[in-house]
Amino acid sequence: MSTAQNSNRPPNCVRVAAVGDVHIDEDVLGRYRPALERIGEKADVLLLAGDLTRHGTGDEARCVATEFGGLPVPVVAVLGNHDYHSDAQEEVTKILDDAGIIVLERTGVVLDCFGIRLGIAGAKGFGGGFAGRCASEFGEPEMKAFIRHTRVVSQEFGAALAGLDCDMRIALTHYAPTPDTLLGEPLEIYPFLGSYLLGEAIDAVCPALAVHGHAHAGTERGMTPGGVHVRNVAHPVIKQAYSVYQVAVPARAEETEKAGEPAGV
Amino acid sequence: MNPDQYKESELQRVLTEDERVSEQGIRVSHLEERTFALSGEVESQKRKERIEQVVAERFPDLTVKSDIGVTRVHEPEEVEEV
Ligand SMILES: [Fe+2]
Ligand SMILES: [Fe+2]
Repeated sequence: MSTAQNSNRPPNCVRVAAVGDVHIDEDVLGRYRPALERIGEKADVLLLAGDLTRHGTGDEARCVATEFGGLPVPVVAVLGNHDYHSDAQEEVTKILDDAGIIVLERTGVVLDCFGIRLGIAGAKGFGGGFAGRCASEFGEPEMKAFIRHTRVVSQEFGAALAGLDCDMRIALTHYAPTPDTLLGEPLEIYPFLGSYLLGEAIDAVCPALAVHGHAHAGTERGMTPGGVHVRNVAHPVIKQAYSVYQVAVPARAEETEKAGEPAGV
Repeated sequence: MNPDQYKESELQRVLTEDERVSEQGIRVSHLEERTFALSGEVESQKRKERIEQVVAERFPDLTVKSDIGVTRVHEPEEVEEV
C-alpha cells in the first residue's frame, strides 16, 4: 500500500498512528472520519489497540469497518475484552477482515513501508498483575484457568513477535505489558489491566515499540522492565483521534541477532 | 460497615454490566451519605446522557452527580519521536 504523497517523510523511520478503545457503535459513526481524512499525510500505518466495539456484536463491527475501512494506510488491529462480550469474536474478526482491516491474535504481519519491512505482532493479552503482585496458576480451576490463559497467550504472542522476518518490530496488545502506563488507575485493579507475562514476552525480543489500550484512566508513556518504549493509546488517555509515533529502524546487526524463525501470518 | 460502600460497588457494576451502559472507564466516588460522583470519559453525548438516565432509574434513592465528559477526536498536531 502506498502513501507516496509523503515526499517530506524522514528516512529510515516509520510513522505509526495508533488509538485504542474507540468503542464504536452507531452513535459514534462518522465521528473519527474528519480526523482520518488526512492520515496518509501523517502516518504510514494505523494500529487499533482493541475495544473497537461496545458489546462485540456484528452490527457494531460493521460500524468499525465503516469508520476505519478504506483508509490510505494499512490498518492493523487486535480485539479487546469488549469485542469478546457477545461471544462473536470470530464474526467480528471476519467483518473487519472483509473491510481490509488486519486483525491479529497471537499472529504477526509484515508490511512494506517505503522499503522498510515493518513487522507487527498482536494479541488481546489478558490480566494477572505485575512483579511481586501477580496472581498464580494455583488452587481452584477458575483461578488456574485465568492465569493459564495469560501464560498461553503471552507465550504464543512472544513466538509470533520473535518469528517476524523484518527490519523493525512493533508489539500490539489490548492489555498492558507494564504497570508504568497504568498510572492514574486504582492500584487495586492493576491485575485486571495487564500482566508482566506480556512484558516478559516483549522484552525477550525488544521490539522498537509496544502499544496497548484498555486502561482508560492510565498514562500514555512508559517502559517495560527491559526498556522497551510502551504507549497506552486508549482514546480517553490520548484525547485525540490517534497519536503518531515516529520510530527509527534499529541497527541492523542487533535486529539480525534477535531474529528467529520466520512466522506464519 | 457503611452501607454506602455496597451502593458504590453496585453502582460500579451497573455501569459495566447494564447493557445500555457497558462502560469500564467511569469512576465512582463517594462524596457524602447517599451521594456519589461519576467521572471519566465516553465516546458520545448520547452515552453520557444514557448513563445519567440509567443511574437515576436504577438508584432512585441516591444523589449521583455526573462529571462525565466526551473524549475529543481532533487530528493530532504533533509527532512523538520514539
Ligand atoms: Fe476499553
Ligand atoms: Fe478493555
